[in-house]
Amino acid sequence: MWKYDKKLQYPINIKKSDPKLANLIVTQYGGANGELAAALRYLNQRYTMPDAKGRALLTDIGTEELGHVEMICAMIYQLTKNATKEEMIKAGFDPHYAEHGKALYPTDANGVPFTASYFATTGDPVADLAEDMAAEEKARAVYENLINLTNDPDVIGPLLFLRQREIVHYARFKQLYDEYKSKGYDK
Amino acid sequence: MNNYDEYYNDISDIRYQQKKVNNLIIEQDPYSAFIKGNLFNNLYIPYKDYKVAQINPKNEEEYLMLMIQIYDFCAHELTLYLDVNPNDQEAIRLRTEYINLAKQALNEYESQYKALNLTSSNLATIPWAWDTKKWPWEGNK
Repeated sequence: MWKYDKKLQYPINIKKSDPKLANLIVTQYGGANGELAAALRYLNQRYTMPDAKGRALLTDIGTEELGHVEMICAMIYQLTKNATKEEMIKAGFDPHYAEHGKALYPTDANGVPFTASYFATTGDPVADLAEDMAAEEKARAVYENLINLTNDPDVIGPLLFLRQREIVHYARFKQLYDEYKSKGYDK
Repeated sequence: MNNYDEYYNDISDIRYQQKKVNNLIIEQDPYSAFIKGNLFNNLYIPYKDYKVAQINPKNEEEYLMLMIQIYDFCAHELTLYLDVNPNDQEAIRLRTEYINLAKQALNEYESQYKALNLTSSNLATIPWAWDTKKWPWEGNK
């Protein structure tokens, strides 16, 4: 069902090489509270949603999260593409480089690879939406942690945007959760 | 577009109650909505005292790209809103406006620069124009 436009949802233009920061931001790629987990969570839950609203919302937000995966990857790519050997070693980026060069790979900030265990689907629409609300809050919190760890405005701008998206997603999931609960979809 | 509250002032039906409950306030300026990452002022929560980043296009191409991103974003925000609030006529009307603005911006960009979508009619030239060296993750720095 996917088509794509050859553009990012929000522009990423990073001047300063910073592989250490890349190693932190990668958590929103392959980490437990990151965008890939979010995309797969929503795109897996959508099939068993009980009505049009759940199917549409989870497909549309899941698709947006794939776009966010790309934004995070663009940030990592730009932060590392010009890193010298000395910079990489000093930044502790050398283990990643040994295994992947400067290529992208989904891990968390500790280098732990992505796993499907990071998300859940139960088939119970109320439980699934509760998980989604929690996921959005966790992602927001991690974006705040990352913003706290850098002074680079080229990085903070996109992180603030991505953080705000989690807040909007939370509001949409919450409204649907309340509606599904009042309709008794958890029985 | 007019203020929601004024429009529904004299209507005492369930939709009005719901609007008051949802307290929907849409950001009027699409650029501001885009840089904030939120079309809905009642949902907007800043982080500490960080100011949102301004985006400053360096040239015509970046400017036209930004306009597409802005209008696509506003339409998308209304898509998500409508997914759970399907009967909101004003939201549908506004979204249609943004979609049309986005299409215009896209046409303007593609006519001067390059195809942004595989369905573009720009891809009839020889050689194959989709294989651009620069892809969106490159940035402009």
